[in-house]
This record gives sequence, structure tokens and C-alpha cells, in this order.
Amino acid sequence: MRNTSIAVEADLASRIAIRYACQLGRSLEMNIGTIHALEPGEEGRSIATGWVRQTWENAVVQEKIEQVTQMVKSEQAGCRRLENPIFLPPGRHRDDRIAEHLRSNQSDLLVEGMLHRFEPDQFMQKVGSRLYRELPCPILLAKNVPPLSKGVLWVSEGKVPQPMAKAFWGLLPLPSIELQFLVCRFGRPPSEAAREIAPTSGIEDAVSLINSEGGSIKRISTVDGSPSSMAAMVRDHFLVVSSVPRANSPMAKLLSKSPCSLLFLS
Amino acid sequence: MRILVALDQDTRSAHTLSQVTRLLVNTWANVTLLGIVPRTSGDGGVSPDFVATMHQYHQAVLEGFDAGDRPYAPADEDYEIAEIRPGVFEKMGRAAGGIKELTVRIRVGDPTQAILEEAQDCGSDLIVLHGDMDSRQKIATKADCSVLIVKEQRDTGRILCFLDDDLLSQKSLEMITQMAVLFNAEIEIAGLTDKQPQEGTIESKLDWLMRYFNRKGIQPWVQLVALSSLEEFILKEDHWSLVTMWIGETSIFKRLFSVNKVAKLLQSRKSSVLLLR
Repeated sequence: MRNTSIAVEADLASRIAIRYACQLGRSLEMNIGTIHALEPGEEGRSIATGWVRQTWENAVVQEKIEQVTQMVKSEQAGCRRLENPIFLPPGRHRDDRIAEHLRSNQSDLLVEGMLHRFEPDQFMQKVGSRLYRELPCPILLAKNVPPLSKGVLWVSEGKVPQPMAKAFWGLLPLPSIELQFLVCRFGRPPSEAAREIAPTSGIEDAVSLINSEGGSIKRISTVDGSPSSMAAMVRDHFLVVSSVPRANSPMAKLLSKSPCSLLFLS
Repeated sequence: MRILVALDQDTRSAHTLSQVTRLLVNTWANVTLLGIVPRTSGDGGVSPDFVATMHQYHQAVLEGFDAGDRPYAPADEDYEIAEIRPGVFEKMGRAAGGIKELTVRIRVGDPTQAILEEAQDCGSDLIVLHGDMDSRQKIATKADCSVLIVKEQRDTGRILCFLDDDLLSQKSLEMITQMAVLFNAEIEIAGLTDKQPQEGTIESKLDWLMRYFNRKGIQPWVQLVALSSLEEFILKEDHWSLVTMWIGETSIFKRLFSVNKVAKLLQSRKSSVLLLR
């Protein structure tokens, strides 16, 4: 039984994350918990001091608890296995508290929601954050909820180590889902179209592992282009798998253009 | 629903009509095929050649249906063109039957005025015209109903709906659903936003729309686009068969449509455009 935690806020992105996890949960044995890291007050705002401030902070926290609880409850109507939220008390940085919860809870997967944006700034912030750099467990960044039949695209710049493939298959052992590998070379200017080039080595171990587990690999291609000329290749999948790219790197730019949900593995 | 299809003798009219026929097969809408004859120095009449073209268009619509599944009366080969009002001609046949109306009319005069007057007369919910009609910009701006500007065949499997603060009518949502069927496409919804407080409203609408389309068995793709990036977005992400936008009273596009670069940009793209009211 996989232990999945969804980090939620009271917003649409979190609803998408919940619906995505619940869709996975219909095909896989998994517990689906929700967590919310409470903040003492709105950042950058300071209301008085002492008792007045404490009262205000408590009210903000209480309001957030109610909003998140209500949001999770409304999603539970369509997903019975969704558990009530756990609230992480205010304190250290949100990322640290979530990472600690994941470790203590022995979570196999963290799901977070993020609305896809044309502007890449928020995505870059996300992949540059401490949580994504440290990756206490695989993180799934849910942006949209397409059907499973759209398959999985695994993007890399070359090597995909076997343990990474093992981690993927451990999480999503779904032989019926079609898997494609896209090896990206970012050697062309944006004005030129992306071109398929001769395959390079680096993913054989991952491929053989998935094949031996009964996975269904539909296609392996190596493409030379730029993030913008390759954008169409990452547009129409149930899930795109990758390691966490360096913020503002060509791979991060490519992934920022994908409206698909992204699974980051180490 | 009543659809008004504005046609001329350009080959693009035939393509437009084939698209509309697919829509009619799905909706069984009442339809008016309106031939536009710009006023010339002649006697204000209609040439036999143009009448024959309109008859062919009439037959082409009917041929789009299976014989036993046709809601319109058959096209009579023994027909007449009668001037029902000055400058307005209607094809009259003896064939009866049909549970829906298919009217064939020809108007002589200024194309913009002719199309807008006919839309008003027949109470159309949707005006359809091809993307090279000179009057498309004026009609798009002045019409009281939705307008579909059909461009060349482009089956990318995606249609884009721009979403802003404007109100969404049930009719317009049904029209988008029909378009998704017509173009055999998935729906992308782009919420336009620029300010933080606005995002909450747009998110609520996105959520509502997702649920609406989910109930119809459609899983839309959602995203946010800053208004300041709109031009770049249209230029760089140009991968849609159809772009739709609401242009109600409070819509960004209503405010900007006649002057903004966005309208010109969309004209220069290959996507068809649906303006919803």
C-alpha cells in the first residue's frame, strides 16, 4: 500500500492535485492523506503586538483550518479514500515541515497542485525550492487531470539510472499505461525546428528494467532542439516524468511549458 | 438554436459550409444559408450563376445527412427565387416536410449590413462566415449574437477558450461543447489574469467550468495567462483549431476587440475564431 500525501491549500490547484491523486488511486492501492502547513499570518503584514497580534494570528490560523477542511470535505464526495487533513503547526519554513512530515510518515509520494501558467516564474521558484532540491520522496506536481490513456512521457537529457526507473515502477506499476522516453539535446536555437537524431546511450538500464517488469514502452526518441521547439512534445500526456531540473536550465524551461502533471524522481 | 451562414462564391465558403454541416448533423439547428451579393451598378437583381451556387450549397448541406436522419425538407429541383422584400430574395420550392427550418436567402447590398440585418430578422444565435470575408471584423464587433470565423482546415485536436471576468451564458457553453465535437478536439481553458485578487475569481470560474465540462464527459486542460503576456501567448502557443472568447459587456475582449493587437494577431493566425455572446 503506497502512502501518498497531498500538500493542500484552499485553492483550485489543490483540488486538481486531489482529483489527480484520486484518479491514480482508482488504479493503484494507495492511502491518500492531505496535509496543510499552517502559517501564523499573512506574510509581510504585521498587526499590532502582544495579545492583539496573537489573537489575530489565531483567527487567521482558525480560518485557514476551516477553509482547507471544507475544501477537502467537498472533494471527499468524489473520492471516498481521501483522508481528513493533517495540519502542520506554524513554525519553521513550510518546506522543512512538509519534508519532516513526509519522512516521519514514511510517505512514498508527495502530490502538490500548481495551475499551469504561460509565464514560467512560479514553476522556476518551485523547482528551485528547498523541498524540490532535497526531494525527501518523489514529488508529483499536478497541473491538470487528463485521462490515464494519454500515457507517460519520461524526459531526460541522457542518463536515466536504474534505481530511478525502479522508483518509478514501484510507484506506478501500471503495465497498461503506455510509456515513451524522450531524450533531449538542447543544441539548437529557438528559431529552428526540433529534429529527431540518432539515439544515444544512457537509458538502456531503465528500459530493460521496465520491460522486465512488464511495462509497455511505446517509443524511445532522441531529439535535438530548444525548449520552445520541443514544447509540443510535452503537451499531451497523463504524466511527464523527470529528475528535478536546475531552475532556468533548458530542461526546466521545457517542463515549464508542459500543461501536464510532472513527476520528479531522484 | 438558429445558425446563419454567410456565403459567397469564394471556394472558402464551400469549406465553411462543410464545417457547418458537421455542426448541423450534431445539433439539428434551424439554419439560414445567406448568399451575399455586393450591390453593383446593375439592376439590383441576382445572377443565375449565383442562384445555382446557392442551390448547390443547399444540396451540400442535405447530403451531409443520412437520408433517413435528415431534419430538413429535401431540396426541390423545381425551385424559384422570389424577391420577398427589396434586395432580399428567397429560394422557394414545393418540397414539404422537415422538422427543422432550412432557409436559403440572398441579399443584395453592403455585406456587413446584409448579414447583420438577416441575423436580426431570423433571430440567429450564431453567425458563421469564412475568414477572408472583408466584413468579418465589422460583423464580429457589431453582431448581437455569437460569431464563428472559419479559417482553413486545421485539425490540431485542441480548441482554446479564453476566460476572463465576463459572464458565461449556458448557450455559449453549449456552443463550445458542440465545437469540441465538431473539431473533434480537446478543450483548453486559459484564464486571463493580471492582478492577485483577480486570480481568486478566475480560479472559481475555472473550477466551475472544469466541473461543467466533466459532467459532459470532457476533461479540459486549464492554465493561467497574464494579460500582459497575451500577445506573446497567442504568437508562441499557436496550436489550436479554434480560439473562442467571450465578448460580453464586461469582457476584456469587448473593450479591446476593435483596436487591440490581439484581434489582429488572431486574424493572422490559422485558428478559426469563435466570439461568444
